[in-house]
Amino acid sequence: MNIGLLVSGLGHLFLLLWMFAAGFFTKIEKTPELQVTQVTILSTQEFDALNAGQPELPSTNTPDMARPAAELTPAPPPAPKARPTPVLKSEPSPTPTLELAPKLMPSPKVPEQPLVSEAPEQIKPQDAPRVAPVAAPPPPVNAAIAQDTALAVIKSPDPVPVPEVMVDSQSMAPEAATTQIITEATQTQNIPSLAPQTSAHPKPRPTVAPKPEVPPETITDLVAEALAEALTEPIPLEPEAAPSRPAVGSLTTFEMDSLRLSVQSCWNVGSLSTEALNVVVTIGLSIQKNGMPDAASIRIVAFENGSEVAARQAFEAGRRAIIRCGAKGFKLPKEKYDQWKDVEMVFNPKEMRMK
Amino acid sequence: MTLFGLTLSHKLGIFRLTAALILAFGAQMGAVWAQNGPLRIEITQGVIEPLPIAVPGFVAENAAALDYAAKISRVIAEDMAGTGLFREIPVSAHISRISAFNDPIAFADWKAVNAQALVVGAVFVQGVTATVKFRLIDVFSGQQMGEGLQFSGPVGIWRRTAHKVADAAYSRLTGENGYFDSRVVFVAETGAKNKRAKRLAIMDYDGANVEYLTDDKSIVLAPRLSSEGDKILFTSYKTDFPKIYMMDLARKSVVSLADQKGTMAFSPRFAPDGKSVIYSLEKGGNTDIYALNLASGASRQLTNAPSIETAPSFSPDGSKIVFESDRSGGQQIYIMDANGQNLRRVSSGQGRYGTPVWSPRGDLIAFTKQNQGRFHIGVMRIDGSEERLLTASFLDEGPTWAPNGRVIMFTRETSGATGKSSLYSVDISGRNLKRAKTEGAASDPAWSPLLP
Repeated sequence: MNIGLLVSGLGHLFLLLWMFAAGFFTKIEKTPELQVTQVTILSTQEFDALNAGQPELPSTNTPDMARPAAELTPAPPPAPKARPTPVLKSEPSPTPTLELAPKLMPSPKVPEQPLVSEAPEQIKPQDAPRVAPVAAPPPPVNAAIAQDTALAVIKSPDPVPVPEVMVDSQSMAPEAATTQIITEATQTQNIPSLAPQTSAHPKPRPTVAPKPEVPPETITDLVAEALAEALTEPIPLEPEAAPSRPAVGSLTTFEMDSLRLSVQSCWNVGSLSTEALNVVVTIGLSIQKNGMPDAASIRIVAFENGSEVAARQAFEAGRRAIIRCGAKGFKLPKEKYDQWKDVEMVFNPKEMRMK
Repeated sequence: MTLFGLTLSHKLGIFRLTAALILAFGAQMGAVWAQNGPLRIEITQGVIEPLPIAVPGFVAENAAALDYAAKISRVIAEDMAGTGLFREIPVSAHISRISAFNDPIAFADWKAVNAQALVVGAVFVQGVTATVKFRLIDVFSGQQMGEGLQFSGPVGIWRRTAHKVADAAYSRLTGENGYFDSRVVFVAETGAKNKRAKRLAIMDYDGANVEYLTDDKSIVLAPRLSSEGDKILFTSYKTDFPKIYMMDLARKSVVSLADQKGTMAFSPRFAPDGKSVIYSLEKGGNTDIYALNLASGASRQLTNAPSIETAPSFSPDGSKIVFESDRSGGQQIYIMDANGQNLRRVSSGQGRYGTPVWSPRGDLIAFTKQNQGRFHIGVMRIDGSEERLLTASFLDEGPTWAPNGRVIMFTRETSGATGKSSLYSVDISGRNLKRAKTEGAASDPAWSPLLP
């Protein structure tokens, strides 16, 4: 066959196929016109501010912080005459002073108590509100903090007349427990938007793995050979290198996490000073075979980032956590007692500080 | 031979590496598991919630003390719970009763109601003197926290005695000084918004013992207390121009500060040593900051710029002054030395910053911020870092620090023609935002130092 004819034929055939594929012989549909609407672009902050129902601010009612108060207030009523200044004239009445230089009291002896003893079984605690272990839902805006939730349900036998104070019809809310501090300003700013922040990229086409050219048995041989070689090669380890398997009776990661979680649920830093919140304190203790901490053994091992006073506050908070949550015994495997009879707990509040 | 484009030697290398890593990891884990010494765990997540405390009624040690014992223990409990750092276990939930000051503590009973700290006290009244003693118990460790303390004072000021006890207990539990035995000067407001009468008033920090210091014939603004708490500076419109006056709290006598003819003087504040006053003075349409020596009457100009400089506040050691200025276009916060040198800008965020006040601890500056149509009270470090907004509302302004630098009080005004001003307080963590008790509308609070 003539090569030129063959090339020409193939070329024409390819051209025809391309024209079909490209829709050359099909009817071209008119693209619908796009409808254009004028829009205004708002930033997220502007949108949130609008939703917050703010008053129109650049009005004369809004005080300008840089201006002296004199400019904010309408011209003051002119004083008709200069008045003698003091309105209240009285004899000097110095503030009564207290003999309040505190005097130390001889501290009465506190009887020795089993520090981790449980409450007697027969005692049924009354409805003392328990500290919530998780964050409570936020109260309404401007809700006042209730003195205590129990006050709302327990009627005092002798109602005390309450002095009249200016209180709007505000709802009362119990103080919330939380694991992080969220201010009123943060709450206002962090209203989640329903709109997605970013558009998702299309997923790439899944790649088809090519078939291995080597038969499976060859791969198995290679793995076995490599492992054998690796095992025979010396691996640099510490002089007192441990065996390659966990020692018998050692704690698993899960068991250690369980101990950590049980203590942290009682670790309350809500009343610590700002300085104490910077202290990292290491507390050492012994745990009895029944899982209960030996309260007498709880001690400071080390502390950093603060004064001794702050360290004492941090230690006391940690000690309370250990005793409270260990009152019924930590759930630890008895057969591994040697591994957990002595424990050092590092209380590090770095994630609980004010930010 | 190739597999996925790799030569056999490459594959063997990868296998060797993988196996070596597995072995090394296993060996390391083994080293951890088999380590000598105590088991060591790190705890980084706790909870932030008020510490439950119990304040059973104080023991009355004689008949005359019966009434005071109950009232004093109530004030102490309210002080502690009002901080937001503590939560009182209601007396109705207590299992044990304290019948004598030295009675042994029934720890099991207090643990059962989850009281973690216990305040035990007693009151003895002899003549006009009340003696209050107390001790603080850590319930779960079964130990007394520090030594017991005793306070004595006239029965007429039993509330102050109670505040002193609460301050001591707060200090022992938190490691910070208390702020309960302190007072707040403020502007008491009455009447409609467009015709509001204002009087200077002073009250205990908790709203008790209100005393009015001026009448409502002339408008008064921005009272400020001296570091001793015995004098008040304030701005008054008694004449045609706002002028600064100083009141002696004990004598209730008022004097005008220096000669301020034809000028507006406002925004005064005492130096920490009480010997001088810094304030803003408007002359010829320009406002700058001046310092006035109270003994000699000599005045000295500290800033000299065509912009508005106002709201000065000393650092606790008196070496520096923080103030607001619009020299960069909008109001921002600046710091300079007490002699007006070494000026530098501190605030850098969006919006306008004003009314800066230096913390008594010296580490933070409280301020008012206006941004995107809302007002905030916030704090920042003195280098402008770690800005933290604590509130957000239609109008919050004029922060003042509690003597321990832990709490801020400020004015919050609601919107609309019927809007009213109130005093609010908030912890510097942003928690425990609450309204202060006042008899009517109130603004411009100034917190005193702890009373002697």
